[in-house]
Amino acid sequence: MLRSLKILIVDDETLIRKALTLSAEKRGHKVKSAENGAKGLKTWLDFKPDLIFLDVLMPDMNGFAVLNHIPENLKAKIIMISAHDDLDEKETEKAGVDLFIKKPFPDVFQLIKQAEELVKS
Amino acid sequence: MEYISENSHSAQSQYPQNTSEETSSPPEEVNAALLSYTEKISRIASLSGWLLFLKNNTPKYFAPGEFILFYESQQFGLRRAYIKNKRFYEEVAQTPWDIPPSVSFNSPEMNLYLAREMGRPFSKVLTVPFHEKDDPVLGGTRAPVLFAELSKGQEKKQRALDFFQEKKDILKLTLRRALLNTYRSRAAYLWNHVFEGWGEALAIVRGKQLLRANKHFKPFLSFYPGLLNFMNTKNPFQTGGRSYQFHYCPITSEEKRSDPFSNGLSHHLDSPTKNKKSSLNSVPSKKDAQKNGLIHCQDLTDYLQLKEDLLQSEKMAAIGKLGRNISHELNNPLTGLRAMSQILAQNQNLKKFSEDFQAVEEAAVRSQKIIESLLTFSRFQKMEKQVCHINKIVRETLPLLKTLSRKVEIKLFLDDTDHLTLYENPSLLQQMIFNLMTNACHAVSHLKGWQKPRIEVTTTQHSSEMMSLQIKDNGCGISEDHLEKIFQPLWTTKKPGEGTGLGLGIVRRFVRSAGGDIQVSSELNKGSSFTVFLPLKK
Repeated sequence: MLRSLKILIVDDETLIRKALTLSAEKRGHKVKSAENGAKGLKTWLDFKPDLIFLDVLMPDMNGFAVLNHIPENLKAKIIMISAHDDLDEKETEKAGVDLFIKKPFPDVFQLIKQAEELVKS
Repeated sequence: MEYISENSHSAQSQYPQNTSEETSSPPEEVNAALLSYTEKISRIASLSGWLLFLKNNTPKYFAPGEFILFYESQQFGLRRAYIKNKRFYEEVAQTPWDIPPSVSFNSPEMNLYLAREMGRPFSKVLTVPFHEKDDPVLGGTRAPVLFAELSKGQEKKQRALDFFQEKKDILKLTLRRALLNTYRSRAAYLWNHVFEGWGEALAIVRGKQLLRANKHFKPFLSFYPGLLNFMNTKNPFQTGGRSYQFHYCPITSEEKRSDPFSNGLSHHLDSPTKNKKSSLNSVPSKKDAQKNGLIHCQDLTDYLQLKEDLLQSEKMAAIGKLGRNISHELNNPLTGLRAMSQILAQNQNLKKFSEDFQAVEEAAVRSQKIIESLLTFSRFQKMEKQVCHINKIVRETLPLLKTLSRKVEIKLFLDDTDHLTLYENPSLLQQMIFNLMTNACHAVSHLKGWQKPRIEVTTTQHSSEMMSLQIKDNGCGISEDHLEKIFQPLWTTKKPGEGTGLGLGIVRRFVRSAGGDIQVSSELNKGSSFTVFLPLKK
């Protein structure tokens, strides 16, 4: 039915990390979060998540830069979340993003369900 | 001989006297003929007349054909003139000529030259040079030369040479006058053309006297009262000896204040609203103590308007950029706020706070809607037209006016059926609505609560092609004499810093360029109603 996923959340906004963590844990998943790109990369290599929520605009390096540094064997499903609506779709696809969500997202629980659907497919 | 000198003198009194060449003393009849020739030609003042005279007064036994004159002027370059089929032709000469030293007949170089110029063979051509050393009209390397085609000339060669040799001086004198007249009238024509055609106001002043003003000067008469009579005369050229005085004389009063070390005088006058200005620049005259001046007036309204527009557009661009930055920055924490309050609302341990957390979420949502409106408003950079629904834009604009309209009842009568679709730039539409609503809010701002300040917004289909948007308020209203002015740029009843007075001007300009119009009706202390008509998307 519902298998427990390893989810990584990379976003500089505390409330977003907290909200996503709580709602994902409620569904039984294992969640780790990081507040910037560098920490996100490190956690990615250690934790080896199945799914990543990745913010674009972060202080040290942006989401795309993080994606560039991921080795092939550690690929996971990537949901990109951003406040910017004028990002090029092709660019995101080329970088390996599976789903692009614009901030604000209306329902945090819906978001988790969407993520689960993504991993199933 | 003395007849010739007398007549030449009377005809050409202002020109330097030429010394006539000596010829053998003629018999009485030839003298009389020459006298009559001279008398007739001395009345000629134009180039066409001169050539016509030659045609008609060269003896028939020479069988004269065409007379062609080549000449050069500084202004107009190499030219040739002739009469053909009773018409006078003045054309550009293709190549320069070498001035022959004296009257000659059938010189091969001249025949060749003429053939090249006129495009047909020439022979039996008599060449008459009109050279006068150091003369501005007849001097130089390209002095005028006349070519006379004389078919019977070969047989009568010597007679032909003698005939023209004898007439050469008088021909030269009259030619000189004809050429000067030609140059003068052409120069006057050009000058006139420039002076009148110059797009700006110009007037020429001498001492206290106005010599000439062009038609564009009329609107600037307020700078120089007393000139109205002058401007109303039919032909400002002909002052008829009267002098038109300035009441405020720009030159003589400046003289007192002028810098003794400068040669020219200048002054500038600005109109009270600073949108018109007049500059006088004077040039000292060499001859007399009178100062001459050129007045140049400019209407700066367009320039000032453009400057203001540019400033506005720069401001809007800056605001747009700022707005976008702030919006994106704010979205982050608001997203977190919203997500977190959703979670807390669902938390079983905090059930009794569930509604409160929902309220927190709603507040976050409202904040984000305001940001959304701001983003649309500031998306000024993208000047693209697109399909838009006027009602949607009205609703999006209202949150931006929440503070301004907090004591005002705003009633919406929006026709929500699908056909109020426009093809326009949505952010410009929003700015228009924002401007009109802001004005309405200001109009009712003085009303107390019990007076029920109220704004009604109505959208409806006006005709098969147009829709109308009406914003009605029950505020202070606009007086009749102000009604014409409210759309003028820079006109406002607000204190400095409160409003620029540009809002309605911008609105009207936008509406008209979109193919619509704006109307206003108002009654003092009752209220105003602004109606915008815009074309529907086809």
